Amino acid sequence: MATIETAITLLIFVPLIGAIACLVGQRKILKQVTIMTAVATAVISLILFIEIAGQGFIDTRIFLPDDLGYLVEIFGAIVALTFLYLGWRTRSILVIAFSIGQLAVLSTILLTPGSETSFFLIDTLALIMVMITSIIGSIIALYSLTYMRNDPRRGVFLAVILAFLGIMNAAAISNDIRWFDVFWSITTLFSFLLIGHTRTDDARAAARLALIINTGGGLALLLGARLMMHYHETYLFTDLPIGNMTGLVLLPLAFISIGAFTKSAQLPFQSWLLDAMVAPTPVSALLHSSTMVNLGVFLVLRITPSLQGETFFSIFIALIGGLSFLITSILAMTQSNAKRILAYSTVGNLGLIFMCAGIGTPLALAAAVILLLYHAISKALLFLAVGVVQEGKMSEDIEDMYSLRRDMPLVTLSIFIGIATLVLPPFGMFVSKWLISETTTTFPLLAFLLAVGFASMVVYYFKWLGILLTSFTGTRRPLREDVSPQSYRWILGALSAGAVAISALVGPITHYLISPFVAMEYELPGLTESLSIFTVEGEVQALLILFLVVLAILIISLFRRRSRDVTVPYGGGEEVIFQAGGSYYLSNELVTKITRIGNLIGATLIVILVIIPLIMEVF
Amino acid sequence: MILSSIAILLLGPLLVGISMGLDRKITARLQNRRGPPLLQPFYDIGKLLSKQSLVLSDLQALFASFSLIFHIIAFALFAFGGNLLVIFFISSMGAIFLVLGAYSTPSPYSHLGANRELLAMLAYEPILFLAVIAIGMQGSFLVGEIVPGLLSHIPLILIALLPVLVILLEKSPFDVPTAHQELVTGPYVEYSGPYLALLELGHWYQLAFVYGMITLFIWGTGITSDIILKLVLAFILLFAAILIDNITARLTRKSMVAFMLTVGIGLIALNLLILYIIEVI
Repeated sequence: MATIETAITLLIFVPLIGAIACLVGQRKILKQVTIMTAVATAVISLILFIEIAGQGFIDTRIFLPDDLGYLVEIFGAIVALTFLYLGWRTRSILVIAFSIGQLAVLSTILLTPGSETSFFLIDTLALIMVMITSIIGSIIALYSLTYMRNDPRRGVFLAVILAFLGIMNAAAISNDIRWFDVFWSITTLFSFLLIGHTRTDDARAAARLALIINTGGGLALLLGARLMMHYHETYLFTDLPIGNMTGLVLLPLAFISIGAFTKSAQLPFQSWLLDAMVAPTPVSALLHSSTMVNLGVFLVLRITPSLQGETFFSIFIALIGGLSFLITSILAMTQSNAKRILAYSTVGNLGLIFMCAGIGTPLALAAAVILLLYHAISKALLFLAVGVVQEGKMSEDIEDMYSLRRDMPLVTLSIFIGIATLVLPPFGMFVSKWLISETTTTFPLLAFLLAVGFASMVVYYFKWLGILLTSFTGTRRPLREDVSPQSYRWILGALSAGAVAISALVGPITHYLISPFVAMEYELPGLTESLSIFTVEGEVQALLILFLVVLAILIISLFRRRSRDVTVPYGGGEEVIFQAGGSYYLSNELVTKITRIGNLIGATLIVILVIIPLIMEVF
Repeated sequence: MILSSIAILLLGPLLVGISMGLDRKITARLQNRRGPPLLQPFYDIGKLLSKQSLVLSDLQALFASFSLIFHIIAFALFAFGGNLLVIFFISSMGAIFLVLGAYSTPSPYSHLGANRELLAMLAYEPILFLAVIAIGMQGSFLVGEIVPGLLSHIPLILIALLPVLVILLEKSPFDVPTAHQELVTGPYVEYSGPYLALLELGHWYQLAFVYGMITLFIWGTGITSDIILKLVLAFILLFAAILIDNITARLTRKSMVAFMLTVGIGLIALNLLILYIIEVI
């Protein structure tokens, strides 16, 4: 127990101390500080994992002194005041209004303290979140050390990234919604700083938008917290009543969900995450894979037990997620900027998680947690790979990545593995795709959203991959050496290996990490049966071996060239000068139209989400 | 049980080969020609396998074999009564490797074909997926556990599978990816000899899965009547596809996707809605 407590404390404070050292330290110690902090954080999270695994993955509760509660709330007020200041600085009435609202709600929360002692809860869901943040986040911090090497304000940048990790870890284990809200708001602040880091006009505008939407979401979350106290007389997630709620008692959950939708950039709030692509690549990787957006889905997964048995309300959460998946998958087909494609696909994948949380059967929840984990590592890999391409080719456009395989074989392989683990069987994402599809039989409308979404996903990912793998006309030039720095290769190699490894371990991971969380929330008979496909001997494992062999062959052949009879491309009798152009199918007007329709439906669904409890109360 | 599974695994692609021969024969008859012998597709494969292997890109051969392997795995899972969803996803992997193989060559026709093949997947995959979900809703996703009665419960889904078959058989009006008059053969254009044979075989296994799904809709009382009914149903759909091929001209990419995503999905939605209403009443 003591080890767990120490490890958790260190996981919060080591990154924060590292951040302070980056901020005040001299330029030359930056590198050492970042490397030490990142490695220490990752190692401590592994120790925590081993310790919890040694105890058989039981939940750990760390009780906190009551005085600390006031301190945290005062801290929350300071953050809200900072938003107020930033609202004035960015000339945004909305931010000012939201932060004043936050202050008002905060003061009423201060006046109605909860009766229970708050505690940190480390269950397997929190453990997965902490592992994602500490390991993938640390890798991204190491990456940005190289990526930002020519930036004069590198110290600040690294400090914010490191601090982000500490705060994320703190948020992931918070069981008290007041504490959770404070850490949540700090991540909003940090993402504002990171998005606006380059200080160009675009970056400023994007940072401002992110601030507006996320402070609005913060207000929704705080309102949810206050209403939670009002209707359920608790601030603790674990003390929320389980299932079968109806009427106004659902209202806090509605507001909390809205907060989650803003953080995870679901329709109609997706614009901030898409615009945030102007930030340096490590920021995108950090926001999309290992931190920020995961908080929203994490929050909804925390409240799903309460939604049990209440299908009418939770189905709207599922619909918003499903709609986000469908619309962003269609829009991603129309993009040629790799980062933007990835951004759309992030929104889509988070939408899938919300959909699972909304469906709420044990199988669906298992699918949600699997998605959360596997999406994080694959998306980090893809973003970092695109960052390396961007540095080498000065472009993020997939049109400029023709025959990337010749110039950057390792990066191409990384993108291949990233896409394969996101789309193809039998990798982790496939398992969740399969589970989601099976669960839609209870609510077939969602299957229609999935059908078109999955097919679009294939189109946009493999169009991109095909371009990377195109070989050059006729010539037999040897593969040129990769020009990117050594550290990139290590990072991409490690993430690729990690993505394949955790895919191979999907059976044990589901069994030990995900089933406990699902079983804890839902004590349903037959659960073990429905998850039995994930036993070590299950059919997934048999397939996996086969696919790993296929992957190995693929890797070898990507780097090796055999001599074979080579011919010239068919050109209908003419000599071919190959110059392929993209097919993006939808015109800009149509993209705007689809976005608008999506936003409209999304906004309607969100309004309905708030109205449902009221209507239920009346009838 | 295992013996019959092995029999299905071996006979499935053979039957598809014969159906390809039948297809050419019937098409020829409809056009007042004599047509090739029934076993011509097998002769073609044999001939291709004996030819010299010529490629444009070193990945072509690899992706062609992957495409075949995944289609075989998908159909093998089908023959052994596996989960339809898994089979669907693995089968779509085979189609993806066909696309990647086409993309790996620096050839304009091949690239256009690959782009269109992806669009074709966008058109037919949702229908197949929803058909699988609809079958699963009738009881089980496991092929081995599917009970008789699909035809009376979800007949419209069988109709929605017809345009899928038209796309997969590369027939008008949806022969958009291969489009032999404009793109020569689209994604296949840079393949020749043995590798083309691999792709062709992969295609047979893919069709075997789709025909297999169609045969799940009908069941006879005895084993003989069962087999005959299943073959007749598959033939009816094939014949419908041939008829459509001969009386229509190729449509554009856009109209293919639009048709499938509106009419195809609409049919499935209608069927599920009717089922739901009946259940409620």
